[in-house]
Amino acid sequence: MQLRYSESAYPIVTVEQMATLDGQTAHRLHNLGIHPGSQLTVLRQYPFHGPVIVEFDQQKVGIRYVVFEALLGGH
Amino acid sequence: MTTVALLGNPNTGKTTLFNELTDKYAYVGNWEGVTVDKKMGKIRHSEMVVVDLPGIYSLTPITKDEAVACNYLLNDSPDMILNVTNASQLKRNLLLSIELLEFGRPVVLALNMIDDLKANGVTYDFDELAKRLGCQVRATNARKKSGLDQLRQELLATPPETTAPLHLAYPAAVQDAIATATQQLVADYQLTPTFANWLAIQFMNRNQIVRRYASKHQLKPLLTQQDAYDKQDFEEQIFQTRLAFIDETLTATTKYLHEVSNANLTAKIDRIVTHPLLGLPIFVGIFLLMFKLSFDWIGTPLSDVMDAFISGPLSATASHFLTSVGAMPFLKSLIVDGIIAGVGGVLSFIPQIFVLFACISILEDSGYMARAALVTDRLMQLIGLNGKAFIPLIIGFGCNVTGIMAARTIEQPKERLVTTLISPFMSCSARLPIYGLFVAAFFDRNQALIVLSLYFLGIALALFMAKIYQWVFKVKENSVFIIELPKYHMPRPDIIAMGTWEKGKGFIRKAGTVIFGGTVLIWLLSNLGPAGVVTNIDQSFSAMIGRFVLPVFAPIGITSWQTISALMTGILAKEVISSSMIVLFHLSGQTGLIATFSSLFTPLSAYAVLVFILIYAPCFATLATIKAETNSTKWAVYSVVSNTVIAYLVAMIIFQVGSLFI
Amino acid sequence: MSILINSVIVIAIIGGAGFVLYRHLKKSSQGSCPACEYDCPAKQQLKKHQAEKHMS
Repeated sequence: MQLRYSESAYPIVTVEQMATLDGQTAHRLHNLGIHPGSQLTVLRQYPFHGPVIVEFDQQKVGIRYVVFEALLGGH
Repeated sequence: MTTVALLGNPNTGKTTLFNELTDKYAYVGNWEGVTVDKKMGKIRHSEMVVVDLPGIYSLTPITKDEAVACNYLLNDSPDMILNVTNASQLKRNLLLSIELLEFGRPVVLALNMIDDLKANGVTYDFDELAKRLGCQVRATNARKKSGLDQLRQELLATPPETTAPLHLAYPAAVQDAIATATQQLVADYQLTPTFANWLAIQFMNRNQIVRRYASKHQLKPLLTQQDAYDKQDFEEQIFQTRLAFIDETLTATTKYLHEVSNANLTAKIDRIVTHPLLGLPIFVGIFLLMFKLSFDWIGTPLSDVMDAFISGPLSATASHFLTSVGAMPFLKSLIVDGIIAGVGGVLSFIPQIFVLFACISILEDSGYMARAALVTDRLMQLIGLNGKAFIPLIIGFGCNVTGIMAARTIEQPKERLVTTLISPFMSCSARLPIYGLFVAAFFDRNQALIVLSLYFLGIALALFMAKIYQWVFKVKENSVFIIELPKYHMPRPDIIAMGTWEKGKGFIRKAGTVIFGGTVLIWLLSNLGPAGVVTNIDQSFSAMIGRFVLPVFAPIGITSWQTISALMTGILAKEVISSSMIVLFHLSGQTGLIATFSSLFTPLSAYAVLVFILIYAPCFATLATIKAETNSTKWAVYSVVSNTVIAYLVAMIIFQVGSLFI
Repeated sequence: MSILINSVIVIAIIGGAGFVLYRHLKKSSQGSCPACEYDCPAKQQLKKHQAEKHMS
């Protein structure tokens, strides 16, 4: 099921990995339906490494910057 | 008696649905974690009991409130399950549904918030969905009360018998392991095949509650295999199978209605309120608006009318009546100068308090709270607090006791202790009357701004102290901050009205209990002295006590003993400060209260007093709660001492530094 | 009105005030839920549950 936007002005990223996250965070993200390969639309990134709002499967979730970086394969 | 367990993800409208189905009003808020414990209610005209459980993402719990749901399934074994889902987020909601369907009890799946889904141009083939999942499917919209009658009928008509559980095609290794374990559990432990099957899957899925259950009951077939399961990462395999099943099911049942644009209302509002630069100013602005409404625009004018009535016609009529029936001055003074002036004086702040409560209820119901937690998270992170700790703090604006109770949702004990200790700095509604009294006397304009500054001073101090406690207690940063941003919905007037009334009722009740009691007490102390009944208040007990401590308070600008005595009564309940002050000044001054005030305070010393009142020793109920929640008297005593010292220091700095400039 | 009636009323009011004050302090000294002024549904349920238990 996808939200079929006529056009999307927001960048879309793919979750690379979840192995380096701490157990609880990974677990919660799993519950929300995020897994390696998930497509996340980045709606907003706060300056100074503040939280990031991502949208996927028609839900909006705020996560911390370090978690976002880890999902993209950083750290 | 049939029991239905109400289960679903957080924020799917479970509690609203519970209220509509059972004719019981339960606390409804638009953020995660509103239901901390389970609640029960009966379906109208039936013997069916519905148990509302905390929202969970899966049966594998992380926090304490999530564990409630899993334990309930394990130990109470409901006859039926009503699984509430957010229709627009079915993909992730079904992850939990699968776990529930595997449990083997009849499941009714409610696709709630169906209107949001349709607005997105999507719907489902309900019959096909029901067939593939093996359960009843009903579309509902609890907020608009649609689809509820059918759902109720469905529940009442469903036979509460064990049905065939859902069987997913897990990979062969997992399947074999499940089959082996189930067989042994059934043979050696007399479990039903369905329950054994579910238990095995949950055990493989690293469900800590189930693993503890297995250890407790010595379920060897599972315990001996634990390492093997984990080594082959059965958890991930189970997850992948479920996800694939969900994708397949949804692809087969989704029907597209029409093309939609992404310009929906929630996105539009969020573009502004979650803006990186504007987010915080908007947060402050919303609070300013709340205080504008309660102090400038709606609350104060209404309060003035009430005050005019109480101090005018009511007081005069009572006075005349008492004189005419021959009441003695002593009794007349008790009723007119004590009860009517004191209790009535506090009651005249009802409009302001109710307007503020209504605003808080609207914030809770609209979905803004999650955004507030998000835009303040960066700040909270600097301090080392989780953005979610913000929610108990905001609840503390109503009553600190409730705020401390709400801190129960915080998992880490140390983090919870920190939140408990800083909660009293949140300016609770009981402090509003005294703010109202002072701002009316000293600040012609910008009354809302003055009150707002006190609230934010409280928040700033709470955060500052949190930082110190984090450092002292060596709290390791808990980085789990994942907050869902729910869709906004139009606040429903009846929910707002109920929420406001529920919060405000306590204030009115207190007028008859602690405020009344405190007022009579202070009147008595002001009319009695060492020599018995005194006619001059300056010779009374309250004057003696106040004068004794007065020199200590000179550095923060307090020059009247009446203020000191009133502050002392604040320990009973913060509202009593206002009623005591009214009674004391009423008895000692011939001129009006405001005239008396202006001779005793400057705007600067008035502000310093308000700051002191904001911070100093919590009320008795809050202290008892700190004691109960931390399980130690030590923290309650610490709270009295530390808060009073901090209050003194901050008020002194404000007064002394301010005196240099003004 | 005689001094007696006056005194009786004053004593009644003071006694009543003392009583409600005592009850308030006793109730709030339990902390947590009993100390909380909000009459939330969880609390209503709890009260009802206790009342039913008491009856039977």
